[in-house]
Amino acid sequence: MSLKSIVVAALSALTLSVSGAVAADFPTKPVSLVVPWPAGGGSDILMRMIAQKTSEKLGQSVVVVNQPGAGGSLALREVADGDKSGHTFSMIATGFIAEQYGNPNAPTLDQFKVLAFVGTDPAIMAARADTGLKTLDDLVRKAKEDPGKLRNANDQPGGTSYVAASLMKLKLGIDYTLVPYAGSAPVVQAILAGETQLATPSVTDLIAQHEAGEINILAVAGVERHFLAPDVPTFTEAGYPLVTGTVRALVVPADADPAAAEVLGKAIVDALNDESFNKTARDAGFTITPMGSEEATAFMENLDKEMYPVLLEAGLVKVRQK
Amino acid sequence: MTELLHATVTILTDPVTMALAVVATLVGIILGALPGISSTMTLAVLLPFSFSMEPGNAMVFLLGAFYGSAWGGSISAILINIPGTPGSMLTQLDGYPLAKRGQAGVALTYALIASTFGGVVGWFGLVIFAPTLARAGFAFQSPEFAVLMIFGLSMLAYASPGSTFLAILAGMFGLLLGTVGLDMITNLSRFDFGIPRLQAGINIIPFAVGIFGLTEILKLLEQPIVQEKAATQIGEIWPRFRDVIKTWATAIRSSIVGLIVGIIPAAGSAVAVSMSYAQEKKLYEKTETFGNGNPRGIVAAETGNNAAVGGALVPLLTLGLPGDTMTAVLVGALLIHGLQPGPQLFTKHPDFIATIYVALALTIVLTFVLSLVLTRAFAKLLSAPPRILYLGILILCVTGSFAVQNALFDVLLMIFFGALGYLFTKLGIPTAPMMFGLVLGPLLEENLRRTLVVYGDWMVFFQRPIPVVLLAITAVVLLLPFFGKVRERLARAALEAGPD
Amino acid sequence: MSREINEGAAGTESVLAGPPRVVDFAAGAVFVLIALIASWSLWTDPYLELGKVGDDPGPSFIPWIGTTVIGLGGLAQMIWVLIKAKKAGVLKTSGEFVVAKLWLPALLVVSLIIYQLAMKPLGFFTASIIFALPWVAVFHWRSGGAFTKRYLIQLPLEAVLIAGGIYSLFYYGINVPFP
Repeated sequence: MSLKSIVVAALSALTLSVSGAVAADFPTKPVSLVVPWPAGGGSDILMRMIAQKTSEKLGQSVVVVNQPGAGGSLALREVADGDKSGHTFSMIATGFIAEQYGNPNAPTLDQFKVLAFVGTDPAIMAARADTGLKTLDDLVRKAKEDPGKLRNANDQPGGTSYVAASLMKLKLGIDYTLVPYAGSAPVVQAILAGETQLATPSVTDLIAQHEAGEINILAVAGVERHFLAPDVPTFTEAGYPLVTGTVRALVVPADADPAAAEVLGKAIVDALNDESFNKTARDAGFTITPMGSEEATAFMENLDKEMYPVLLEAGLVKVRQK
Repeated sequence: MTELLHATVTILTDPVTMALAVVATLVGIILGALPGISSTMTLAVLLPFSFSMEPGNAMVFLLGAFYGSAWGGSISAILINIPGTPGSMLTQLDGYPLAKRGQAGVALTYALIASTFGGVVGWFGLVIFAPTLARAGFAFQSPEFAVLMIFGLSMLAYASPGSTFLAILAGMFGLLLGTVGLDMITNLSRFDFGIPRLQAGINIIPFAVGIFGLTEILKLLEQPIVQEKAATQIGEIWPRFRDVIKTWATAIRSSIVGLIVGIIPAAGSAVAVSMSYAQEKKLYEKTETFGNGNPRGIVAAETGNNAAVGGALVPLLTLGLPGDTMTAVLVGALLIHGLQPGPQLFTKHPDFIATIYVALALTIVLTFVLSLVLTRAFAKLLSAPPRILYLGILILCVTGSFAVQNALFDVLLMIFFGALGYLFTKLGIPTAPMMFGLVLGPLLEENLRRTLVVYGDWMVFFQRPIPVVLLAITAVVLLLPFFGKVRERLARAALEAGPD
Repeated sequence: MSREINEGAAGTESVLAGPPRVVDFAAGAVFVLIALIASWSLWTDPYLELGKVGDDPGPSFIPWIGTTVIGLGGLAQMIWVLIKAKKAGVLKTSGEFVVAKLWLPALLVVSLIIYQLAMKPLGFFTASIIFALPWVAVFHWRSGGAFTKRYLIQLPLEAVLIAGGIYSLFYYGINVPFP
């Protein structure tokens, strides 16, 4: 038993215990942030930062719970049908919008109340330097010469990068083959090894190779240029208006206790606006553009509306046709 | 070189850094030993603590936890037949039988020596060859990967204990289990039987915990439990030096396999140990049996597992490319401290690279020393009364299966596979090949189909050098036993015909 | 592990050399059953045919290969054992499937399933204690322990300590959110 007690003591010493004054009758116990992805991914790291800051603002610990599986649908479905007291919240991303129409078991946007908008990490269009492609116009020219010959590395159908690649295809009016890989690391490996000529990950995934001159980032699909790659134009600047990427928002079930949701939402927005949080998140390459509940809801509904025709075109609508 | 020296002095003389290294390594070993808590989860849980540390200290801290947990998983694998992490799932095939014979201490020491050897080889691989090896990983694209998996699976088929025929069928069943859930290429669900949870696929940990841990207890309950006297004693801790030396060739081969698989992005430790274990089994199939306490099996799995740690850091540091989920967490940590891993890290921050090298070396040494001190205590756990030991294992099976994905369904899966494993062992069907199928199968399918998407033609497998070589070896491995048999029969026929 | 593998190896030996056994036949039958369930699942899935795009052989390609090999292999094993049995004139039972051996393992599987089902309504901690109490006694009895007065207190205490210890380790140590 002695070994076990030492272990317990050592571990408890390591865990955060945040205590503080509690205003309303929420929160009455630790709050869980359900991350529908495995531990260690980009979203997971960002969510852990948010959890840490939110727990400071809330005066109650916020525990990250990873429940990966089926592109996030499993965990989100359980959240939507689960605890309504406001002690459980979760995150939705671009892939969630697509999953609604791709997976009969996935929950839909109207089953959630959006508490806050975190930000959009813009997708990029990158090409191997040895293709000689430097701008989107180069890409359009080359792809029109030889339709379908170029290959793009992206994630599985319905994933953020896949959706981005499909959107770019439509916007640029060209054709290339979408090759699915399991996550962003294999995507980067694929373009570096030359299995594909193009890739559509996030800025952080390829910025080092861009600077080293191995990969050319042709354009960023953000509202403005990315702070890590100030030399790369946006799609809009290049003449192809398009904004897409990993959109992240925090949600509770639609019928969650409104008073609790308000307290939680406020704490989250405060956390997102916190200076030290912004600095850490930015250093890690995340774009943070916080929005409150109303704005965020409108944004997500609009995204849902805009993405539907694209998903339909890309053959990703299998259920819940409109 | 000067940077390496400088970093060594800086780290060894700073009491805070050293304290962090010891704490991180210990926590890593303990968390790794807990079933269901993988190295990735350990890192993710500890990551927020590193935010406030200096970059160097953060690396010492995280690498300590990373390496410590890679080794810790083997402790529970050997002692209670439940793998703590996916990388340790083959250590138990030979480690647990040895422990059951009352040689838990010896098994642990074997594993420790082997993992340290693997760790050291991985470290040298990282330090000496990093810039050269990084690009070598690129030789492995989808066609190469697909053929590598076929190669691995076919070696295993012949190397399995018991009936080869049933082993192949069991391996195929494992392959089928690997296809359960959403398909990577098309995002369509297979074999979900209308259960949404199955769309996520079958996680390796609940499977392994069930088929090894629970099956063992079910088997045990068939008759009165006799705790053999030998099992309650810790036994010798040191294996005979002669015996250790005998496995040197295995250790070197497996380290190299582990290092290479570690370098290949997205392969992971489960693949590394499968490959190195399969290779040794095949090489020694005539002279040695595996799966009932052969130290060579422990050595093969452990060196492979820990050499892969150094290997996985190669693409991370040189290309900024995380080879697996563990190193992905390290990327996050580097980014937070304003360090962009990639080709320029070497030129811009050579001092920091040196810090990482020294941190890894330090944790390898610390893990060895700390574990050696603790081996007796670990092995002593087995001398607890059977009721405490087995009840503890049962509850660990349940908590571990739950903790992997925080899903109650995984507990049910664990129970299902425990019962299935029990049925299989009673029918004489070997269960280990199922696990190989489950680990290697999904990678085979994904890469095979992606190859066809990319190249649109099966001929590509015969037009690239690595696949051609691997396919040729596979064909030889598969056909050789048949030729052997035919030759035997011809020889016998000639002998019988001789006198006439 | 060692014992099972030896038995597995012994099983092969007996198929090759000694008289064939019922379990060898059953092993083949199990694989045929698995193949039947798998092919039923593949046949009745309306979505799978949608998956074939371009040069991709589709999401049911590998599953069909696996299912076919398992089904035919299982069938071959069954036929092989039957032929052997006919030649040898006997089909030996192994003595592995008797109630005296099976009842306790079966009871454990059933109680584990009840334990799993009870976790949500009762909470992990309570469910674990309820599971641990009878089973610590069973293990105690199975390993030859006597139920003297001392154990009436000691056994429940041990059950609570083990369940509670593991629970605290995961819950407080690593923040695993048990129900």
